[in-house]
Amino acid sequence: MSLLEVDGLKKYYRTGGGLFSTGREKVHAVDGISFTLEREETLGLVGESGCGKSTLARLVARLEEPDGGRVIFEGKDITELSGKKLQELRCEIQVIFQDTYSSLNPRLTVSSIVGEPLANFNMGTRKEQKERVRELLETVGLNPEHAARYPHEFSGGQRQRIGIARALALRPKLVVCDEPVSSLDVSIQAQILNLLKKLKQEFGLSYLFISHDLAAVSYISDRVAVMYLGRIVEVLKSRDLATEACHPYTQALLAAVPVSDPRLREGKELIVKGEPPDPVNPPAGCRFHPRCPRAIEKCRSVEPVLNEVEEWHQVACHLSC
Amino acid sequence: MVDLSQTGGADTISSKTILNVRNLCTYFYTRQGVVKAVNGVSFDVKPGRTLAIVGESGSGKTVTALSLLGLIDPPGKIVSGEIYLDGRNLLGLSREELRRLRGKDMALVFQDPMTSLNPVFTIGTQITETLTCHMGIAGAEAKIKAIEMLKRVGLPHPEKIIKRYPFQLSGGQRQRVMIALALSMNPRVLIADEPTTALDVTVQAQILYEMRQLIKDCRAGVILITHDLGVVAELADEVAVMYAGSIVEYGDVYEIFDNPLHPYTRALLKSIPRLGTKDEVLRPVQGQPPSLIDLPGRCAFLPRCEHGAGGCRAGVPPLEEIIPGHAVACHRVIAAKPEEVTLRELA
Ligand SMILES: Nc1ncnc2c1ncn2[C@@H]1O[C@H](COP(=O)(O)OP(=O)(O)OP(=O)(O)O)[C@@H](O)[C@H]1O
Ligand code: SF4
Ligand SMILES: [Mg+2]
Repeated sequence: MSLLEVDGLKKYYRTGGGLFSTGREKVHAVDGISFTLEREETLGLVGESGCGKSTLARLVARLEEPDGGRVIFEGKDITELSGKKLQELRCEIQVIFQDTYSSLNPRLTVSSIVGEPLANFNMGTRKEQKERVRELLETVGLNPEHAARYPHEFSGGQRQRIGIARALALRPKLVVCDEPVSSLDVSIQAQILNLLKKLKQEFGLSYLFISHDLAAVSYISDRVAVMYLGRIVEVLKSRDLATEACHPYTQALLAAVPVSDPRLREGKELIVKGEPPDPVNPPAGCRFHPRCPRAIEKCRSVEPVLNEVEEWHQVACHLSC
Repeated sequence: MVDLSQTGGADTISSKTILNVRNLCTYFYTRQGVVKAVNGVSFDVKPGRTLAIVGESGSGKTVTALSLLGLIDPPGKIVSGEIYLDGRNLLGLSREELRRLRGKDMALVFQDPMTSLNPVFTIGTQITETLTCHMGIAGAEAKIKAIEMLKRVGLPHPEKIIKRYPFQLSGGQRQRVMIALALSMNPRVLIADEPTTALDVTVQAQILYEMRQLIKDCRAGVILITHDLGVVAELADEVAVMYAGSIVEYGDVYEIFDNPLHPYTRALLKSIPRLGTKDEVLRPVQGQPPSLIDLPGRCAFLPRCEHGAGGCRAGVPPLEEIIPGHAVACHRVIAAKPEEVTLRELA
């Protein structure tokens, strides 16, 4: 049994009536997404802005209600949970956000922020909670002596460590990481990526790791799922990403990653042009067809489904790999 | 390459460079203390070539760019240094002279074009106005030129784009408009501060691709400011690595990537995940950059440096040319020359 199973998940938002909108338009943020996440696995979710990554994260963590589909956690359907049951689920699934400015309460000390989930769930005595907070801070590489300080006294990287400590407080099984390193400097990004890897091993965690950075995603993940306009277009093992990816969009993303050495820039060609279309009116057929360099007639009208091409490798494309 | 012994005077400056910056120091006098945002920076910009200034947040990249353009406001102040544009020292110019220079001889492209485009005018109006103002082209001729410029930066349907307002364009389209605007003046120097940082990778790839062509064609000298070594590898001819307000390594882009010598540059290169390298482990530099208030009188990188030793306390290391065309500010690298230095041998 997989730890997490997402089945046909959908979420639509009404747009807020901009200058040209009729007020009745729907953004298809997540439009029929299915995948599984195994125990102690890290599944990376990559895609460009507006493709629905963060919406998917919030749906999985049950911070939002889906408009269709199901989320199954450890074999139990959690889509409809509410009240006390939903509270209990919060012990199992935790979230780390990109923006630590809005996700950490500026008026609370680090000790209260990290200890808050423990207090909410009455985990142990006051003293035990304090001890656990110290231990958590140490685990994420922060000085426990700084527990009485406030978030603004810390740098971006340190604030992300605080967010991680809080997420770990209840010993969750699944941690949803929504762009956890995107606003950090490269050297600090690498520190946090390494910390997340270490914690996963230490505590047997599973991650759903969301990012627009293909290289970071493939570094931390076992498998990578590529999203485009509310849909998953390809899922494959990270180690195969550079060599086996066969969806034209995945290939375009790979080609768009800046080179790591100036010698590789000569003769580099562009694979796709233009920008992703508006998710209010996604194109018919394959959503990628207007930008796809290999589109055939069928792509304009028939939407491809996610098919298994080999074990652990699924592709939604009319062309064969 | 910067000849660091050269301290100024138009006649001593090589005719091959457009912009020469020498010992630039820009400080901010804040209530907490003096923030030494840019602390003795020197570099040269050549026509048709791109100098990348790369460094992490707060290292002084943007303040360097703003200093060149005379855009430092109190509590900030350029406290010393020289900036020569075609041999003329800009620090001697009046505010009005500097203002005329901006947008004409020196153009700027920012990370967020929304802040530099006027929200109440169409794209067409903004471009034709700039053309009229700086080049004396007006009316139908300006409109034709505007369309042509938008086409040049890869915007499809430019005749539609000129009728739109900035908010009706995507981030990538806005950034293309900014690049078109900047280049329309045929500037001598183009300063691009994180021009693609806010964009999606596929859009970034297109803009980098187009910029490479445009820079070649227009012969402007380009200063590309970025925190992304990938963007450096895509576009730069020369590289200046900044740390805590100073350049710690400077040289040809191939040399910097093939033979990085400063411990910070090496650590940065080891911090970026790369595609296709299996089971690689990142070895990021530990700790954080220092506060720019009360910078110590020693190497600013020492607390984070793998190779730091007692000798590293002996003053701030100067940026010294170690190999022709390759300068490094590190006591240990400098002490190890003239033998073929690699830090592997130092360690
Ligand atoms: N107006 C100001 N007042 C006080 N300090 C300032 C001011 N502007 C910049 N600084 C300081 O100058 C230093 C250099 O900032 P700068 O913006 O040049 O960094 P940067 O390298 O461009 O960073 P980033 O990658 O985040 O854009 C920072 O410590 C910053 O806090
Ligand atoms: S001078 Fe010393 S501390 Fe500074 S970078 Fe060189 S080896 Fe490291
Ligand atoms: Mg900046």
